[in-house]
Amino acid sequence: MGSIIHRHRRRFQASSNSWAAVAAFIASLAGLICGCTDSADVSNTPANNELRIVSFSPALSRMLVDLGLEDSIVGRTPYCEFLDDSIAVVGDLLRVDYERLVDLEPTHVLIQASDKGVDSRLLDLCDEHGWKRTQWTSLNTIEDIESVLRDIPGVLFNDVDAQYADLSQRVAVMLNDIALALTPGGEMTWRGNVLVVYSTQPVGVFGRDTYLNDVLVRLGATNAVPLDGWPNLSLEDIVHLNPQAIVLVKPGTALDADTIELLGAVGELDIEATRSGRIATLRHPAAMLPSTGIIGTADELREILASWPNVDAALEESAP
Amino acid sequence: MTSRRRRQTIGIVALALMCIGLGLLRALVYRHLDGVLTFTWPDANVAEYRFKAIAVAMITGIALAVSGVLLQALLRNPLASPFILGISSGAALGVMLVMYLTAVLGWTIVQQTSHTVAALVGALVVLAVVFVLGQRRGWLDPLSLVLTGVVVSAICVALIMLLQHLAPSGVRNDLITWMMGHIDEGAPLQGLIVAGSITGVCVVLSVLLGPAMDAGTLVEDEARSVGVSIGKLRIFMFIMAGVLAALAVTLCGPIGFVGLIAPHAARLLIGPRHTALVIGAALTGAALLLAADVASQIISIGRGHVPVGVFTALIGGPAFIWLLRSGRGQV
Repeated sequence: MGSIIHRHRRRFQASSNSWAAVAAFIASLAGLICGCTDSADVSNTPANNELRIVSFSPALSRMLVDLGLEDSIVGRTPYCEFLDDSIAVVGDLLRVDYERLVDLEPTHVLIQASDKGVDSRLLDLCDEHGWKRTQWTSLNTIEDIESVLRDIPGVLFNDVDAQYADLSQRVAVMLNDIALALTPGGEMTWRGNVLVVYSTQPVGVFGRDTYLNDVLVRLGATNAVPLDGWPNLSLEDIVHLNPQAIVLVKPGTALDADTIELLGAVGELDIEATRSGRIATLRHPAAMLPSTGIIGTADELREILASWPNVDAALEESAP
Repeated sequence: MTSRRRRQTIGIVALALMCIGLGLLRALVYRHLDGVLTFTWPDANVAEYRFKAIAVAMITGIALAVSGVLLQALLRNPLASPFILGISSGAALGVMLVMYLTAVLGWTIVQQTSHTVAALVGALVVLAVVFVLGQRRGWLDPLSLVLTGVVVSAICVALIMLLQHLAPSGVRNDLITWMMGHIDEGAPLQGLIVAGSITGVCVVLSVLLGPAMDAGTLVEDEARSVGVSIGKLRIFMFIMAGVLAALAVTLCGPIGFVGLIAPHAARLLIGPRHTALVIGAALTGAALLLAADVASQIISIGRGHVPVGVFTALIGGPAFIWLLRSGRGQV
């Protein structure tokens, strides 16, 4: 019985070897044609050989980069556009590239779990290979971002390690930077309500219980939308809300792009924001990420709010 | 008046009344963001958006439904529809490509015009590919057509996903949300007039072509024997179906199942004769999309308005399976 299994296994191995050879040939051919560097990606060796992190979240990747740990990231999602192209893509939570993941031999796998949870195969794989897996279930608000930041040193190092102390110090600096970035602006900073738009067809906005709502509130303004999450609004909803200002979140938009044009039908509504011209684009590359990127995002938003006259003066203007 | 004519008249009047009722309901209903539902005539400052939403829903519903009737008659296949045959996906791919290039390359082009042209090109290319590949030994094979349509649609969807994948984060949101399909209450008036006019002309032509379409459902030799040139008729119907589907995608994004369900529902109500069927299907399509838009206004799950494409798919999907299993889908 054992020999039969052995023979079958050998035959299977021989057949899989030939298939693997064919696959390798096709892959190398495709690599030659496309000029791909995937094979180089896999063997990417971080500067810190002890720490090999795979991040399944652009927000978590952003935090690692801002904490100076970019060299320790060996795997990323396709949406971590700010990371070096040479860092291997391991898919996202919906489509994990298991083979690539195994090849990378990470020491740590960081996950931002969705509402649906995490693929059990990924969890099993982490357990099988002894990779330290950490997952955060909520990363929406500034408190969530700060909480994840505080967790990171303990996730990556033992608290007796020198690196733990070093990273904890960097986290403390980062938390301080966040607090500074979120300090309310001066007297001239806009303190009215703001509609924060992230898509225009249909209109998608940042509601309460989101990091950009938190940033707005901490800077002294208020969110025009009374709903939680990222709701879709109709144009009529916006007319009824009559926001005093609109910020369109469009990371990477060219500086000369016209916000009214980008807003489409929203830019043509007869509402207080369009009448007063309090319309701007938030261009920060990390504006759509609940991460340490909120420092730069908050700085840009503060500049936008400061560029508009104070709400009291504006209210006087609009008074009948 | 014969019983058939009476049945058709009653059916068309009933559908027209349903459209008026749903249109009126859409004009009156509004769910405030605090969840309170009101039924009042709109104020002047918001009336424009409600009436535009009604116009967009009606034009799109009519365009998709008549496109469905044309394709089902043309292909002699009860499962044919702009969505199933990949025409909607082709049009959507065209629009997505323009959206992507506009954003990434910084093209400065007139949005509405470029979307319409892109949707039209995408729809017609897919239509031509499906038409050519769906033939066997010179004959249009219903099964091959549907399978080819499904495959071409899958390819278009794959390319759309590729664009979403390649798009930078600032653009990706727009591409993803546009794909959900929605009634654009901010559509430019000129665009609506053009779309409405083209749809109207296509509906009138389709009504006039009714008897020829009746003959077109026969075997080619039989159709020729009653004086119908199938070849020219097919090409004409094909182009009209593509134009209508492209218009619908331009106005609302890809909205599924209306083009499949509306012709069948109308056929059950007013019979298979195409002259009346085109009118009935057009009214059914308009009613279906208006109903979906009203549902989108009334039903709240705490995240603002649910995209209208969700409701048409939720109604259309089970209806499609029912048609398949009950064997009622006859052309």
